[in-house]
Amino acid sequence: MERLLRWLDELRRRESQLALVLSLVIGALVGLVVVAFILFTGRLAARLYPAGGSGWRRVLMPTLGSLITGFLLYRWFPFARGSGVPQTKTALFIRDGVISFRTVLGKFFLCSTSLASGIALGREGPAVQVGAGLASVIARRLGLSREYVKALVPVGGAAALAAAFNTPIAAVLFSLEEIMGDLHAPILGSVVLSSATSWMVLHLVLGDEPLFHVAGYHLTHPLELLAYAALGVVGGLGSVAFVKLLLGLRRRFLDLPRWTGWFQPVAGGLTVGLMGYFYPQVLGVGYADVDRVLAGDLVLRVVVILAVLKIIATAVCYASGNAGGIFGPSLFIGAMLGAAVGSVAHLIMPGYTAGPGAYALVGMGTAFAGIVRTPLTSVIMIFEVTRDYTIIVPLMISNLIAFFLSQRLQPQPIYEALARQDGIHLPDRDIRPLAARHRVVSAMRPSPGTLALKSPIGEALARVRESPLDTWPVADDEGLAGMVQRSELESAVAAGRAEERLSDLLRKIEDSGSFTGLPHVHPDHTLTAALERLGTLPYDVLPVVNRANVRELLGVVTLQDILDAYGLAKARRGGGKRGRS
Amino acid sequence: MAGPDPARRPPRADPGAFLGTFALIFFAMGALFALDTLLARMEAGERRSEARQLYQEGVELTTGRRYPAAVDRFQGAVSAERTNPLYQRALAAALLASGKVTDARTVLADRLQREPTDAAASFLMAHVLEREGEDESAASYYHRAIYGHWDQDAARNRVGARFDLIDLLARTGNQRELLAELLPLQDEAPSDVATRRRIARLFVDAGSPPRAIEIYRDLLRRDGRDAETWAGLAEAEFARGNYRSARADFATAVRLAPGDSAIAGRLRNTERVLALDPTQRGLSSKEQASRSVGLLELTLAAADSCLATAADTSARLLADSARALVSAKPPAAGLHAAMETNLDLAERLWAERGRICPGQRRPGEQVLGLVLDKVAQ
Repeated sequence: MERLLRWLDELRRRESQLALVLSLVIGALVGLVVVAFILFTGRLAARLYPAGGSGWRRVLMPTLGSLITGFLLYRWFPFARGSGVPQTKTALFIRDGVISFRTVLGKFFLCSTSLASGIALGREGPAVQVGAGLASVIARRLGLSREYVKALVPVGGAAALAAAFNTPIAAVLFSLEEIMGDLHAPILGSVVLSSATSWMVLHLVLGDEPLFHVAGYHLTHPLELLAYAALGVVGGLGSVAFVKLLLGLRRRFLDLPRWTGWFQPVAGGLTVGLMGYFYPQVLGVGYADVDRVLAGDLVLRVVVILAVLKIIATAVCYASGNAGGIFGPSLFIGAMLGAAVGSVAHLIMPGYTAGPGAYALVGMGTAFAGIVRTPLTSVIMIFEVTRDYTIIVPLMISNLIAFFLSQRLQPQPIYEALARQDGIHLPDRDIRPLAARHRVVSAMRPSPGTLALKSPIGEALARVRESPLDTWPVADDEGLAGMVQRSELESAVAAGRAEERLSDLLRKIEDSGSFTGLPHVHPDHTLTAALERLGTLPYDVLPVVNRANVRELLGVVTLQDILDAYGLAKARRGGGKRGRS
Repeated sequence: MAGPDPARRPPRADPGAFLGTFALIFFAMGALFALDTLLARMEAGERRSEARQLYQEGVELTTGRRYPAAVDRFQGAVSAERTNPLYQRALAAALLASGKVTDARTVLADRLQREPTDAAASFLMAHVLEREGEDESAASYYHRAIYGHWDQDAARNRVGARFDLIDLLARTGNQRELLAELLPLQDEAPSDVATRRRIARLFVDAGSPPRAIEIYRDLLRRDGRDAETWAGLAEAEFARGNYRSARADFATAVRLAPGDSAIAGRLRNTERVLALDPTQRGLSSKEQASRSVGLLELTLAAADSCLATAADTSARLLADSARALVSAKPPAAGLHAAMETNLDLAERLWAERGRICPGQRRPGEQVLGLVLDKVAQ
């Protein structure tokens, strides 16, 4: 015990190690919470909808559920509305990773009640907010710095998704691709750790049962790829229709007087209740029916009706302010659209196509790629669900078509659009291509030449004076050896060392400790990185060198070049120079 | 952790609050684990109970031959408790019964992937494959059913599986494998009369009438007044070519079961064979020669319509020779040689007819074929 306490105290002093340990702890804790969330929702639903219950119960329960949760959301838990993914991103990018414990509690219980009562939304988005919220609460309570609090938010989100959807790899990707918006985020290791831990907890408590039970599908004939391409088009158009309907309806609900907020969710509850009276499959998350359609167990007419009803039901439920996500409904809609396309394809070309179940499976990924716009996550997610490699190629084709169609017809991704409707401008993905455009290669200029390391200082100064550059590269037979400033040459000449060699000057500079190492950038560095590097150096010119051989000089980039590349040509024109000493 | 900032400044929380937070986290984890376990057990219990009820309903519907409704219930049971082999097998059986062979195959493939030694599932899979015409694979699954694990009543189920395999082999005419399966069945199968009779009949199909005769005789030692066993024995004797014994046994069976028209028919058939057979013991040379002419005449009649239209001239010449022999006066001497000539010609005609018009057999020609087969031996 004493050793444990000592270890904890030691851990307290080392923030980076503490954060690593917390990745495991958060993974386990979030896994347990999400399992409780799933089980609690399931048990509550079983009591609200006992076997052989009357059809009117299907109208009454979602209406009552949305009324009660709507009031509680309005009165005490305003941040627990909706999906949870945009809220998590808002917390991460705008609120320094802060999600309150009250929001976590509200999300857990209200979303559970809402889903159990039959509201046609999903559990994954809320789980992400609960997981991210717990990570935030723990990190803040332990007094971690702002950076680490922010870093642990996606860690909690990934853990939650791994447990909620039973797909640890897709959870990692979703966390990086959607929440962070950066697949190369430095928190990758922590996200993987927490996701794996959470998934283990899920399996420890609930066993090794997959979320969906899928038969081994395969491509029947190469021509079948055309049918999958058609599914991509249908999935893409369906996704756009869903997103536009949801955003349009939400805009209208947001325009209503603020005091109506507590009973707005009833619109969603009543809509889904009336639909559920005739088609009970529309109620709730609907994974049991996804499982059935994956087994090819629903007929064409039913899957088409269910796809249309679910699009409307989810859009109204979400737009009216109920608690729940769109992750699960996306998969439901995709499965139904896929089964519809598959049934038609199988009718037209029975010898060349697999059954509707295979299309339902691909349709799930397609709709997810079209609605959530995370194509990589959707491919890996379906791969994890099926554990079947052969479905990957049709899945990729269909996903990419849906993704591009959706991107073209609805440029703003849904989570960003939802946040924007709330007046929050999340960093969009356009920033990344912009950063990619602004690289050193686009701003660098050819080297003015090099000063020979053996040449006398006086001779070097004469050459430098003829050039507009203040700093010159110095080279020997093997390539770049260092950089020297005009002021340094002038000082040396004034001190009567004009006959000394440049190598002596460079050695003296190094010995003085004012600068060590060979400063440089590579052509693929961002201009931001080049600016940061210039900031640490006493001069305005950086040599651009080859990554394979840092002594091979490819050119130079100056502060002015960088400003020109950003369109700030007028700024700093003829600006001052800094001295090394 | 590859954090965004490698700063190592001490966190703000004081040691007490820090340790307290960790204690709280671990306490919460313990409490959540207990809650999760409780909820999971509750869920599993409710699901089991729901599955059991649906299964019972499915069984009742199956008894009433309402297979589509039964499939629905069994599907519900499987969804509620996926790993229960009983429900999976019941679903597969109901799907098979309602004609959804492919779906049944999918369910069974899933089951057998989980538990390859599940003999009952293998047995059902064998039936599915047999329905789909994949006889070789079906035979393989019957073997898995015979050597796999049965939850209950293993001995009886294994015998049942072996019988079904034998039926498949008999249907496909695989006599060698059929005999190989029958031999162990002799010891494994129950000794009730119906089963022994079934085995004996299968031995006849497998081309081993002596073993069948042995079993029938054993049964007759137990009950000498069983007409069906006598008829079975007669069939085995008939298959062996002992037409006289067969006639005697059929006659006994007819005496014991005078109302059985099938046995009476078989008796008449045997008598016709005996009346035609020129090689029978105890016949005079004249009688043998006369029967050989009669046999040739019958063969010619059976082959004539086929050979008349044949393009093959040698076949037509053969028919002409037969016609000449039939219409010629019987020789006064050299009766044995004449009989041999007649029988040789009849055999060749029969073979030509089989070659030129395969599968063309008219009713009543069975007896002729049997006699010619015996003559050829």
